[in-house]
Amino acid sequence: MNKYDRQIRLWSEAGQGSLKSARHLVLGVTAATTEFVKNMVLAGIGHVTIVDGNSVTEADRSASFFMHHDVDGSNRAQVIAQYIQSLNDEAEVVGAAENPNHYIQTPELLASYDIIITTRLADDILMQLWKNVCKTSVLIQIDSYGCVGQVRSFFLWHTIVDSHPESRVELYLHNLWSEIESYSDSIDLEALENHDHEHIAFVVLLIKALQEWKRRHHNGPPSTLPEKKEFKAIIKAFERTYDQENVSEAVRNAWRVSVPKVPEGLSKLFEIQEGCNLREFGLQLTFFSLVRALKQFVAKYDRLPLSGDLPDMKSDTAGYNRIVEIYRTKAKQDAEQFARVYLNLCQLEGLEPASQSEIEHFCKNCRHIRALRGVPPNEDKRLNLRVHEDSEFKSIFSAICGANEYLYRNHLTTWYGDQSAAEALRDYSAHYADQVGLVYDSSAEELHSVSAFLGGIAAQEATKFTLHQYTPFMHTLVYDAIKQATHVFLNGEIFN
Amino acid sequence: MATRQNLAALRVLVIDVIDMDTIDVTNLNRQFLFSESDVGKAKASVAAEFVNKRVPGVKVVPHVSAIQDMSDDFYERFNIVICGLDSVEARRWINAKIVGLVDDNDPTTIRPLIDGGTEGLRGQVRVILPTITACYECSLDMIAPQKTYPLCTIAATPRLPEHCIEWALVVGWPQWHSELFDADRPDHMQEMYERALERAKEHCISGVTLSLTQGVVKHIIPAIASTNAIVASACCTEAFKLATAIAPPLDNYMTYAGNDGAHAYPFSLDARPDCPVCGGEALRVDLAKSATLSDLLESIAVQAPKASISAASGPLYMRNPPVLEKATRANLTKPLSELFESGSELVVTDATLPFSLRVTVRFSQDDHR
Ligand SMILES: [Zn+2]
Repeated sequence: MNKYDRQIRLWSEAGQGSLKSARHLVLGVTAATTEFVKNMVLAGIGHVTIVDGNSVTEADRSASFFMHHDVDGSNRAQVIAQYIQSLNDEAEVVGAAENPNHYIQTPELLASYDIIITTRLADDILMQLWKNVCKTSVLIQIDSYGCVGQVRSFFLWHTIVDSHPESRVELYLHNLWSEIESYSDSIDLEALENHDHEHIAFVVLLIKALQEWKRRHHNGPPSTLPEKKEFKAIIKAFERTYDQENVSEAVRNAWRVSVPKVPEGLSKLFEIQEGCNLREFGLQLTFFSLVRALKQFVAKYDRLPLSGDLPDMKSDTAGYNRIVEIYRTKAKQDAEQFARVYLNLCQLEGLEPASQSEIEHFCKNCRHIRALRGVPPNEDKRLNLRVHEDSEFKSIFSAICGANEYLYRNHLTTWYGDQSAAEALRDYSAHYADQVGLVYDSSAEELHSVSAFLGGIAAQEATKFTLHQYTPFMHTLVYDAIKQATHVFLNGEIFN
Repeated sequence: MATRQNLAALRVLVIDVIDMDTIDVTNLNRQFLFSESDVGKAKASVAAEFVNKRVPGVKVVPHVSAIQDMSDDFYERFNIVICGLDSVEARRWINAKIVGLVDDNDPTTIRPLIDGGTEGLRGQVRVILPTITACYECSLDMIAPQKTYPLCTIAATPRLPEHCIEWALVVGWPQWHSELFDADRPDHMQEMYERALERAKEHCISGVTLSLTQGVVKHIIPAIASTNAIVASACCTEAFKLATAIAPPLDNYMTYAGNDGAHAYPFSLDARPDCPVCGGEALRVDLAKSATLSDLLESIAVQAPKASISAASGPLYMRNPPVLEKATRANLTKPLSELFESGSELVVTDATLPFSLRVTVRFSQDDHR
């Protein structure tokens, strides 16, 4: 069996392929970034470069399990890279004995990475890095101090095709097409024996109820509460035996006859791309050209393409198979029509089209696609102005940013015995002495288990960014290990 | 396993690790203590050897064994128990064991139990302080039941590929083989897949694959390195708090979800006074003096349908092993008063229960039944 079996069950072979072709750059070795790299390499990332100019010290060994006792004096990045490489020979792990600042100031060195991981960078330098990479990469910073820490993500746009919704089922009963209607009409409920009647799929019961509804009312599907009640009563009247399962399923799914709306976030995405030069979306060009095609599809057919997914339902095998076939055929037709619209658009705009399977994947998931618009690192400062956010987490955030700043300005890795550090941290978060204490008491040292938690979260986020599956958090997540709680300071926009 | 790494880096001195399993290739996507050359070796031994070699001053002692095979003496040696078990049964068992070891007069017998688990991008961590906080058994109804398919569907009206696989497993296999199905045998799995595929073709159902067959019959739960690291590290932070008293432990449950954003959310579960494991009070049964041991077993059949029962003096009726069953069978027809005194506390065990039940039996003076 494949060693990635347990994760391919989550994100499919295609997702595993995205990981395999991803390239990450890690600037600075700490326990947290080491944990991050370990998680990504085990998951099968294609390439990681780890950059650190320092040699292994006694202190490193106590914070990181990967530093063996016979490596004192060797370069940290190379020691870590060599060890982590041994975990998975399908990943490529490179250690570069360089000062991370050298990378930060050299755009050519940064260009080939899709995700860049930093740690404890002061905001100014983070901003400098951001300016060099924002068009090509996602930036993730991990800061771990004693029993608190945070993970921050910076990106211009991030798009998600498969957000892993609970269900993609869409019946489109408000707008019946001939195949499904004539299948339903071929069934004469009255004429059936009880056993057969109990095995009629609820989709058919809903269609029949809807036909009866239309005979009684000449407007659209039931919408008001009394109308919905009446509609459910029509369904209920099909019942022959007490608590008949398929009838109960139909009642539970009665809401599905209403006219499905284009989700609000999707409408906004339609607006955002309107009139834009699609090339402005940079890395997300393909996604937004698919969005534009989707808008054209909706304009033409007045609905989104069908996913073709159906839930299991009480039914005999043949009846269920027939319905599945009808829905799959319809979804396939929709996908073909969508592809035609899209390819036409690409030709007009002179764009390189996505692959057949990418187009189909987008079409199947179109109702649940998402886009996140991020903000640059210096927008963090706005967080301080948000009075409604949880104040304890906000002060941890401020104290950590202050700690990063202090260490950076003073060229330090610790403030052990340094009284002015506490004063400096207090300046950053004037009113929250307790939380400053949580950071200051750490002497800037990492608690391994706290770093492992943060490295785990950062790896989940990097994985989600790489896969374009699942939804990353927006901006800043603060962790308090004393409470075992996190808080996300949302900054940016989510379209879903 | 990541738990072990964190604990070692925190300089906890002695760690005993129990695991009966051997390393499978599918463990490697989340295991840095194992490499491909370790496949087939015992997990506990490889992990222990790795940490012992890497972290001077820490001693890891491996036990390649089922948790159920370790004695009370063994569990009494520890201050903290951490588990990352893969089944409800095993969790119920260890919970009942650790709660059962509490002596009300000796606070050092309250051994914190830290439990972690993951599924995909989600996970949870809980800290159980036996007899103080809610125990695992207290919140048993929180656990989602395993997905099952009605027999009538799999037999008569299959619709999904899963129905075909379940049919091959539940209906088909016992007809074709006298040998029990073994999910770890590749030839068994291959045949299961082929039979399920055949069934699916007969019913024009698509989607049966070897991977899906494995997933259904082995109840495979997706697992990734990063989620395991998150949960394992939170377990270690809790162990660290308990060992050093630098901060109060988690009270008493934290869920983590990374599917949509990322949230670690702590909350407190309440202990149930009527919890059969930590609820405290023994079950009280009143019976006539002339009642027999059979009558007693009948009166506790709801709580323990296949009970074995002992008094302080020794076993009264044991269902296993057969020798002991034979030796104690005669007691079944004896009046209780011949076996023990009124008000005695008896211990009831049952193979279907992960814990023993304490029962106090009082004799009513007259036989009014
Ligand atoms: Zn309990």
